Amino acid sequence: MNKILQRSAMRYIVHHPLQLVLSILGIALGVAVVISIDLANSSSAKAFNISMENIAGKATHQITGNFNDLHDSVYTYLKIKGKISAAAPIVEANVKAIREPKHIFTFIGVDPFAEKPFRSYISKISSKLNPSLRLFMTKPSAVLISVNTAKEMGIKENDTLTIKFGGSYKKVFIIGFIYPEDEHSKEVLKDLMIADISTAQEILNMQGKLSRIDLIIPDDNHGKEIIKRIKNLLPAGLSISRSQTRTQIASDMVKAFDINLTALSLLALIVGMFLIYNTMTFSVVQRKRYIGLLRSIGVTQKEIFRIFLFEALIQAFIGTILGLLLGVILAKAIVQILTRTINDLYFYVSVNELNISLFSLLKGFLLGMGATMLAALKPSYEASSVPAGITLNRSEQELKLKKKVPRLSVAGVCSLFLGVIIFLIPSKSILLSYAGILPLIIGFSLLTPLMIILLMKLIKPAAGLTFGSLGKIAAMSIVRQISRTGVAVAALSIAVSSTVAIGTMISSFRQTVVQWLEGSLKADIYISPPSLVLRESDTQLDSSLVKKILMLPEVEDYDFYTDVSKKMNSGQINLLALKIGERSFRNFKFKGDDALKIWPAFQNKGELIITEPFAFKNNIKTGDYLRVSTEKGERRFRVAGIYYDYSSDIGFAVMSFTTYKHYWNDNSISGLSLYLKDPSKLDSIINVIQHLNLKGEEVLLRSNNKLRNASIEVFDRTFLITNVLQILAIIVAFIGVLSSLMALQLERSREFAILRANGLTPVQLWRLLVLQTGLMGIVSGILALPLGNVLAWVLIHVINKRSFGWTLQYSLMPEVLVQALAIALLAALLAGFYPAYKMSRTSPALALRDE
Amino acid sequence: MKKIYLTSLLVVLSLAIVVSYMLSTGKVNNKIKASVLLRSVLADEDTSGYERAIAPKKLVFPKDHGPHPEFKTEWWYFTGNLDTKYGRHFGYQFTIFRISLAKKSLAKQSFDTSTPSPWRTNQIYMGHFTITDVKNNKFYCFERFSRGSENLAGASSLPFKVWLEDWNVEAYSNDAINGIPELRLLAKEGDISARLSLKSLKNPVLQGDRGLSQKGEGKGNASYYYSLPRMKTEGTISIADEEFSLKGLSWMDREWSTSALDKNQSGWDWFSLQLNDGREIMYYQMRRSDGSKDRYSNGIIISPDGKVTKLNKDEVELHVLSYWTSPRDKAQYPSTWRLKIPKGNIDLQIVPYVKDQQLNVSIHYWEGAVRFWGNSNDKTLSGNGYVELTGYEKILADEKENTGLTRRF
Repeated sequence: MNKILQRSAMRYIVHHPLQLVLSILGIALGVAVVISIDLANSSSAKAFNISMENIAGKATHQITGNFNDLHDSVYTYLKIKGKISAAAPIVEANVKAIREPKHIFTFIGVDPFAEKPFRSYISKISSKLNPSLRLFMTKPSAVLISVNTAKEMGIKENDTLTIKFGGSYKKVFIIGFIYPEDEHSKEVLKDLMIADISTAQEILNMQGKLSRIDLIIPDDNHGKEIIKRIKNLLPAGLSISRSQTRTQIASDMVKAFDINLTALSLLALIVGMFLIYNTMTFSVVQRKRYIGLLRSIGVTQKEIFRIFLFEALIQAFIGTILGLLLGVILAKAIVQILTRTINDLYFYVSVNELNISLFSLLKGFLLGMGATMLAALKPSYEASSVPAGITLNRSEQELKLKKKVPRLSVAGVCSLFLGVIIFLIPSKSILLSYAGILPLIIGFSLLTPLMIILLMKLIKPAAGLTFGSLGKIAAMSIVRQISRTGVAVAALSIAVSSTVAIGTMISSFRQTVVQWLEGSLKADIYISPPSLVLRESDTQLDSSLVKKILMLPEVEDYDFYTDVSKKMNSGQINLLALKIGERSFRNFKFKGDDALKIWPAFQNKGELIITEPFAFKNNIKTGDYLRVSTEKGERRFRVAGIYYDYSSDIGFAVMSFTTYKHYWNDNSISGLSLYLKDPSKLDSIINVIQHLNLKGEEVLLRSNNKLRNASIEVFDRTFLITNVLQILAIIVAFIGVLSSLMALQLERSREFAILRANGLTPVQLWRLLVLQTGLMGIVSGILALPLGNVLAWVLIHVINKRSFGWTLQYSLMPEVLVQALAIALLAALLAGFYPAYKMSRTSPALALRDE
Repeated sequence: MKKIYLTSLLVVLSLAIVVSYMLSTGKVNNKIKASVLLRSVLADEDTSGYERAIAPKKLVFPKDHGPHPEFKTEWWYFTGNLDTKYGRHFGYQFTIFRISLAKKSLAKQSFDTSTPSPWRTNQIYMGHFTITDVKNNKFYCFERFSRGSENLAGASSLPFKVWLEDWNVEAYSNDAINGIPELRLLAKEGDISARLSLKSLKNPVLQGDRGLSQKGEGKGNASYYYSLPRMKTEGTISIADEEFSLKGLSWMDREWSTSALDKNQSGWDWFSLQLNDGREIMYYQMRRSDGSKDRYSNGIIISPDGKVTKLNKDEVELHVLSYWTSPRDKAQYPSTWRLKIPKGNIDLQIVPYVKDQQLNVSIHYWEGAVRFWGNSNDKTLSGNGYVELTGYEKILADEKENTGLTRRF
């Protein structure tokens, strides 16, 4: 490209620094939000994969069973009778070190002699008959941890360490350290606590039982035969599955969650795109004379097109690079929030460091550049089509657009329809749902000019009444300059509407959950063992404690459940067995059914009830059958009803305890709820129960109120990340409003100079400017409300439903709406100040010098 | 460019230094020979709390075929030479070692009073299995470990059985001849396997003084040791897709001890020879650090009817005729011998069937099938046997102590 042209373009940029800074900031923020979410997502996924990998080692398959079923003897049988040589018994649990800094370890018990093909870092202990083998196998409570973790925690050899498993505290003896060979194994080992399998069984109270048996089976026909042989050898209730299944299940669990976060972050980028589009369009409009001049001295259309693209490119590049930096910084904060949410909702994972993958950065870079260039295409094209010589005057141009308004509006309506059609496609694809949002937004922005004209018709008389002729001028100028204000207002209202949408979605969700909690938490006291993942329990309640509690005279009635899935093969459904009275059962709200009608089938006929997300995820309707492998082999259970539940997005099935007892020989209890004869004595009874708990195992003892508050607290915490996204969206919106309105006003300095020359005082100028931007802010805010709520509706009823299967009650949130208006107005007023300040200080003559 | 190259070279170098420093200070120091590590686990100097072989005692069968967990180490050691009917020759070794890791019973293990896990044990088992395929000049060796709990490995006297996972040797029939029943031996690793039946043709031979075999200075530095020197062996060996029907002779050694060994003994050469005139010769020569023959070297000649003639160190002459260098650890092993026993007018030349029969496992040692020929009292003699050579692997100077786990000691 011509160097002089390039320099001339640069000059324009340099001479409008504020405009430049704001539009770059817009790009940077959009990119930052996307990249930070992407980095946080991939870091947590990678951390989880590493922690899975280190535990699975080179295992390709695993045998798992009902928690109580996988006996040691199965391993011996496979190894000796089955001649399966590459097999390793594993006992595993998460434990927490009671020592500062707190650290959660994956405690694994291994037979060092079986480890050689699996985990090199463990087999080292035995392969060369390392001296520590003797201690490892024979020293009481001996464990090994990574030398790096030991250093971090200030642990020395021969230290004892207290660990917490479930509700009980145990002491372990650090006999030595594992020395990682490279950076990768350092990462792999950092959260592992390794013990001999006998020690692990003793510490975890799993004498005679295994968590799983790891296997290495070749991926060929011979391997298939081995699998067949193993299947024949396995007792009922045990199964063999691929080792990746665990990682697979985990990644499936968080998939919907991840996609939603990514999509919401993309929304920020889309808003950023609109802002760029706005800035670019604006700079074209502003420079029509200059373009005409260039054209008339022989610069071709192509060259003009290139100049504007070049300008965009520079902005895109600076903005994107800035965005990447900002994104990495942001990601550091977000990854902590994100992993806490994942820990609350899904499984335990700890992310110590951000995994800044080149791929993520490249993706962010291309996205930022691409989005900006895409947004710049149309304005650049427009610039290139400016005819040579003296350009059209403004009024002609505005007239042209005004004529276009009906056509634009029709196109807008068509686009809206397209969005609706996309939503109507019966698909579970979340991406498709988000794709439907785009035509909605475009349709809306096409309708914006019409809306502005209509709105101004309403506002003008009111503005005239309130602010006199200044008000009228302000209102009229917005309509008259629709070519600029239209784009600006559209961009603003989209930015603001995204905050409305996210805010409304969160509040509606929260309200639904609160109502549900109130409806379903009817017992007085809830007792459960503590666990690392909040909505899951790793352990059972001590049965002697349960017996003592139920014998208390104050207890009128009780419900309890046992988490059957903890005792089933991994990869199977989540299943709870529930002992519940008819009274409590009535609190379940069934989809299109009455709890009372379902009760007999559930209680007496051995049928299941399932939660809404479960039905959705597995495509199950009432009357369908579910296959469950029980201790008596695989059985089919009819689904009696689907009920609303918001405690897990994976969902679960529930059977009555009577049914459970029929198929499983187990009496363990994962959670217990009590109804008291006299609920006013709650506190004293909690006290009594605490004293019953002589074994000292920690149990969570919570009153109705406390549990409800705790649940809401967890809810709020899990939505913290969405809140962060909302705040980011607000910031992007704010900057958008600020930059576009400010630029708009600055561009009109000549117009204002004429007004000044005609007698407008500086104070009046202030008023006019602030009035104009304020009006535009209000218009954007008002327009954002319907769009925001439509988007919220889509998020709640289409996207959330398709991602998680929950039915949420959509509720209009006044505070969210007010907040949106406030953001728009505040930013708009702020946007008026600087131009007003600047213009009231320049002499009108200077501004009119060209005339 | 040059600067970048230099810088990166420096970085790599310093990294290498750091890594090697870390390795050298690490727990697992690869420089120390495996055997040394093994010794430190298996034969620490502390022998108190274990039973020791102090005085001769009457060995009782079948009880003493079974384990003696009160002693620190023990083994069931089978070696044999077998032929197909077309004369293709194979050698095999199958050994199961029992090792006690700690002396006390480990009932109370955790800090709290939890019930012990069924995995809990102080007994571990190690198995070595080798096949020598003479025609292809190939030697296969395998090693396994397991703990003596959960039925993964163990030993019992009645019915007789020693097993390590699916490797095992057990009583095949109930009619015991000379206190030892017919045995069936099974070992398989990958596509190499041996499935043999063994029937003892002679009574158990008690080694040393009525079964007490002194290995070094001091009371208790001895083992209880008996052998079944001639076991008729039949069965199959499979290598990959080929299966060979074989017949031949095996030798079984049984030994258990809690020995603290003499620091000046550096290794030993052990010979078990089955002569074609119905006799067997067993001779082990202990080497001292200075290369000389240790006074605890010993041997016997067993006559066809089982009579034993003892040989002390001065009654046997052993000359090394050639050496073989291991391509793995560059250790030099004797490879051909001349064995002279003036007492019986015996003069034999002993040659390995395959030069490389070094076990590349936790402990490096050479254990291989040999053949020999020569004469005794002017009658020509020949036969097969097994030779074991230990202490030739290169051990760091300061680690030159006895390896605790040895075949014979």
